[in-house]
Amino acid sequence: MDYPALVASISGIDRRVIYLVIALSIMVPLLLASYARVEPEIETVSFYERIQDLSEGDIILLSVDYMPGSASELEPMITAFLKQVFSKHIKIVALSLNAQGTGLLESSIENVAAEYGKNYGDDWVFLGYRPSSPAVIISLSGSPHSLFPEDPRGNELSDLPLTTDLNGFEDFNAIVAIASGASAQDWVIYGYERYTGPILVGLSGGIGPAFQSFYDTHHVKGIIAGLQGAAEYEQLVGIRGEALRAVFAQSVAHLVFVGLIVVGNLSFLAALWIERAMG
Amino acid sequence: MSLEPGVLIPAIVTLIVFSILYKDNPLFRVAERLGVGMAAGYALILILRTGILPRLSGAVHNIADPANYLLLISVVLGAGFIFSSIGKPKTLSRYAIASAAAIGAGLAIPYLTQTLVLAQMKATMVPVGLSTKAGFNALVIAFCVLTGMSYFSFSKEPKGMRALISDMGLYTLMIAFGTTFGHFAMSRITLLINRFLFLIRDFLHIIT
Amino acid sequence: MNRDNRLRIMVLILGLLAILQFFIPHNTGRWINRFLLDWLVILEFFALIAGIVALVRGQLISLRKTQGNARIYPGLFFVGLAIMIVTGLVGPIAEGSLFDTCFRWFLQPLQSTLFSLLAFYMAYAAFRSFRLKSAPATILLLSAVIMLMGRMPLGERVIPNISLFANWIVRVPNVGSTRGLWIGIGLAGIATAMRVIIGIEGPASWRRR
Repeated sequence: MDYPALVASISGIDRRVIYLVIALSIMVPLLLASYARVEPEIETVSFYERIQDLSEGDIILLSVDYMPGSASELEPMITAFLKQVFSKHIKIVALSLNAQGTGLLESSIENVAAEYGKNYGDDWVFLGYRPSSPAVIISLSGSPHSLFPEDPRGNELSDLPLTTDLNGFEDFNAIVAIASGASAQDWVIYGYERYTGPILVGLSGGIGPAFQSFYDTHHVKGIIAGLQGAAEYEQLVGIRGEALRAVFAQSVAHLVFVGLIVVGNLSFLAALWIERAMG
Repeated sequence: MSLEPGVLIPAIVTLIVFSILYKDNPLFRVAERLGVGMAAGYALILILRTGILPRLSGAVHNIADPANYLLLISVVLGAGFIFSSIGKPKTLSRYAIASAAAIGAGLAIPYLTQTLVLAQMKATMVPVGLSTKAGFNALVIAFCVLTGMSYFSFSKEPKGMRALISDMGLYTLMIAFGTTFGHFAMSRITLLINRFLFLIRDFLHIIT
Repeated sequence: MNRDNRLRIMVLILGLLAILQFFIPHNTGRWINRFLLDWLVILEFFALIAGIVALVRGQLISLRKTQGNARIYPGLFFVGLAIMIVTGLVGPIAEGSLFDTCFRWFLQPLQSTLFSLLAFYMAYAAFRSFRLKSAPATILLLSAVIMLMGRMPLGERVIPNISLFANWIVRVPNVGSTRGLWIGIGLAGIATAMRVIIGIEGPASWRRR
């Protein structure tokens, strides 16, 4: 057998073959399997239990910062969160810290609120979009009325039953920050010093590991990280959502990814060995 | 296959973007350029209609409040940013940039000190030991913190023991970077799963 | 007093006021605090708009410089921009409007799919470039592989108890290293902020050349 040629052909494989392998590693499991079961991690359980500990009529400040590119990770979390909250008759005051995610957030809340018969102004309010999350966070600790005199629908905040008496962070029973960008970190840095209640975060997978140190120091009391976290949360809330649907495909894709790394390194080591053997 | 425009058009767009994986083609470039323009327009409209206009209409309605006069001054100053973006730095834009930088810097100092420096240092200074799991974990964390920070100390060339500690710091940092890379890879695969799910479920109706 | 010194004094005053707002609970302090924060938010709004204006300017320059058929591509940028601006200014922007429809039918799938391409490129890069060439590269590779295997249910079936090890890595060595990074980021942020406030550093546009 011509080993040098074999090793060269594996190392020099056309990129489109790799792309096809990845595509099949996702499509085949999606076609074959449906919803998976997952083992919730302690950080996700903490998130869920903190919301469960709240009572009817409590108010949560929901801050979301995401783009269409990260919607597939964060939307399952947002949907499951809204279902848990509305089923317990907890109220939500929401804001967006990213311009592009503003429309997505408002329609997500509207759709779930309609399912649970929740009314705008009484059960939920959308404050709109503001940039500069440090300034927004510090400002909200005083009162939302100065930074958000009106909502995007043209209602004055002082006219809406839910927001008319809001005077700052002390009126919120929890702060939930769901983000793919820097705003979750800003909530920890700027929000923790001003707020005595629990700060809970939902993050896209890539920034999850960096927040473990904040969980360790109790700056955040619960974390949902990435698709795996979203799937665990959906299971705890008791819904069969997009995240649980995707877990099996994600697992197979990971194995294939690792397989590619292993094959690539084996071909590299084989090429080195052949080079040394041939002098 | 769904022929509903709300599914068909996104499916066509998705397939056009995936076509770049086979070969660069004019359809992809058209979609890409159109998308960049639309993204800029979308962001601009949302900033205006859900951000600036509701904020300023509140100020205009309550013009008697002196704070709102100062706010309108910041609007004039903010217009200076736009001057600088068209390549004409003038006095107004310098004051705008300077004031934004100053306020941002001032806000950052106390909060960074509390959360990123003091709280993290305090959490590292806990009892360590080899006899309990918590003690061992605390020892590993303290080791990683100290060696990781020593890697970034560039005031003197590391030699001897310092070089060894610095190398250990590099290795511990690689653990963190590998962890982050693994999670980033998971995150990107999730996005791909979402697109495929849309194509085979919502567009082609192969699965429910 | 020259322009640079006037700017430095303004920066010093605003910076000190912003630091002091953390410590002063008095009503006057709260009023100054509110003023500074509102000021910053409005400035950031305009900074975002300025970014979009700079992008448009760049495309205009590109349109002027290119010749013939290549002009189509910068031209398409303006077509897309015009579509969203016209639909966004003329009509409503809520769900179901023409503006929202353009976003959901074209922009959202385009951006989502563009981001998802990274999975393919990462896989190819991992296959071609992720090599056991040195000790740090090996450690990075191994921790990435342990994460990928340990954070999903199927990984447990291939390597038993991998998830316990993955969780330990995330909760202990990873916490240690990122904690060191956070402390470093905090210290560097404080140093840079101090330099801005006392005028040693600042945006290039406010300095005389």
